[in-house]
Amino acid sequence: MSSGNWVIYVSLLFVALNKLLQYTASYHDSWGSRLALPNVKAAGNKYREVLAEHQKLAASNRAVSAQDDYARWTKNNRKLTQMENELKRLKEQLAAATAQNKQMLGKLRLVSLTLPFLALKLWKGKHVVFYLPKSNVFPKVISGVWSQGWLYLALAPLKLVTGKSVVTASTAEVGVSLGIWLWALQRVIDTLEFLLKQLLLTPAMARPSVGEKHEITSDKVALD
Amino acid sequence: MSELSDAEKRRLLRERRQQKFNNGGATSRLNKITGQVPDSQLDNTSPLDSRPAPRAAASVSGTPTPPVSKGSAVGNEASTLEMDELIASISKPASPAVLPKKTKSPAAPEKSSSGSEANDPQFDLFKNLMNAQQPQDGSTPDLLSLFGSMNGEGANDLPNPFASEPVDQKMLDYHNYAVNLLKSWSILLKWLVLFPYIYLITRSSAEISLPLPRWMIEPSNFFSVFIAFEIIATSVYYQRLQSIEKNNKVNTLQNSSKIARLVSFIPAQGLPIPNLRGKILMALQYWDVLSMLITDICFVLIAMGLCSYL
Repeated sequence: MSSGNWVIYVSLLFVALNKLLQYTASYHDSWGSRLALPNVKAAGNKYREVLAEHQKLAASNRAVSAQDDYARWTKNNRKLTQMENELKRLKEQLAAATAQNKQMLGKLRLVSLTLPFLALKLWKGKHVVFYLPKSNVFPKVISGVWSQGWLYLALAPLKLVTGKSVVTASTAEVGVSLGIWLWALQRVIDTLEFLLKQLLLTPAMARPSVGEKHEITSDKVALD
Repeated sequence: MSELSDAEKRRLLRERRQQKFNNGGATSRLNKITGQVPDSQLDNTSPLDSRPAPRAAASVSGTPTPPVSKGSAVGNEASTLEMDELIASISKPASPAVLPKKTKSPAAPEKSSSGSEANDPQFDLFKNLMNAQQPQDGSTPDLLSLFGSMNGEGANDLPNPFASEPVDQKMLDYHNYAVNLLKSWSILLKWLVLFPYIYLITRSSAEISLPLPRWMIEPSNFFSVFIAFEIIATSVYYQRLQSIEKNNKVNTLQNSSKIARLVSFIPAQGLPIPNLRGKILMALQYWDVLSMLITDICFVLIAMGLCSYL
């Protein structure tokens, strides 16, 4: 077990990274904007430049009287409209660049995190994480699943058909394989999350009052 | 007027009201109030018009009774009752208990379509739709219940998702909160019980100096004890869930599960598998129990790993 401990550590690292990314999902956008990849940076700089120019011109145009200095005011006004259009175009460009980066980061995550993790699970799926304290803690079929993964359950009918005993799992020691252990771990972490969310983070709620019924209780009639 | 007693005043007013209602034209009056156009697709007939006036029926039969008579105390009582029922049925969703009472009351007129109403097919359609949804909801027909009534009510035995009463959103939120709280507490308590037990199982019996029965800490008995514990815990959980559902009058599965909502779009008839909707809902219910069991088994696995390293 000790020689293969790195498998467990690496998988734990993958699980932790995935969870970290999941918890910080709301910050990803702001991180992405701070990261400022070259294409976004260029578009952002251009946008900021034009915006500053626009603001400057708008301020100077406000100082010009439209009646007294009509020609200048109109010229400026036309330029402002042009700039507004350009700003709109640049904004779209910026959004496109951000979307492109987001897509790229998504691919990066797939390549660096999801796929290696999947590969590790497939490659070292049957690596024994720990041995059950006693071999007879679980029924033999379940022990077989623990040590050999879900495939054991899937192949059980086949074994029945071929006449072999389903319960051929080693009876001396039952190990829990990596695939099963990771599955259980993720499920337990999810449930712990649910518990924390429900018991600590959700504010207590009072029972809403049920809408009053419109029933006639008295027979009194007001005369006019 | 001032020397009249209270009871007489009330009686007079009631008779005046009754007379006004009997004059007919309730539908047009209602339309004027609600501002509906005459050729509206919605059902705009007043419930007053859909029942024949008792006095008019009496006059047809040959004995013209005066509209105001001291002697007809029974009829007066009946009309009061009828009036109250009418108001109650308008202002709140008609409970099924009201309908049989109406037919039992001696002076209440029979609710039968007669004359021009019976001849009008469109009116019949609306009336059928109204009758189909009357036990559920007394308000204006909404689209879902219209679909529900068009869907073919052949399978009345299965829980019809359309038939469930509309649930107040606030109540639904509270209900979901209560259910989640119950679920989290039950999981927490189960885990708190299971963890020490797993710890005991992982130790060899020589290390344990607790006065516990032998069969309990025997590793080979672990799974039986675990399953028995799960069955008890799950049944307690379900009992609590049922009481919450009863208190809040919300069906958890039908209101919170997305699959259950999708299932409600499956037509009730015309599929090769009979009662598919009911079967899927039942499978969802079983899955709920099974997933809790699986989560606990996962916890057992992880806890055993932890304990074996401890």
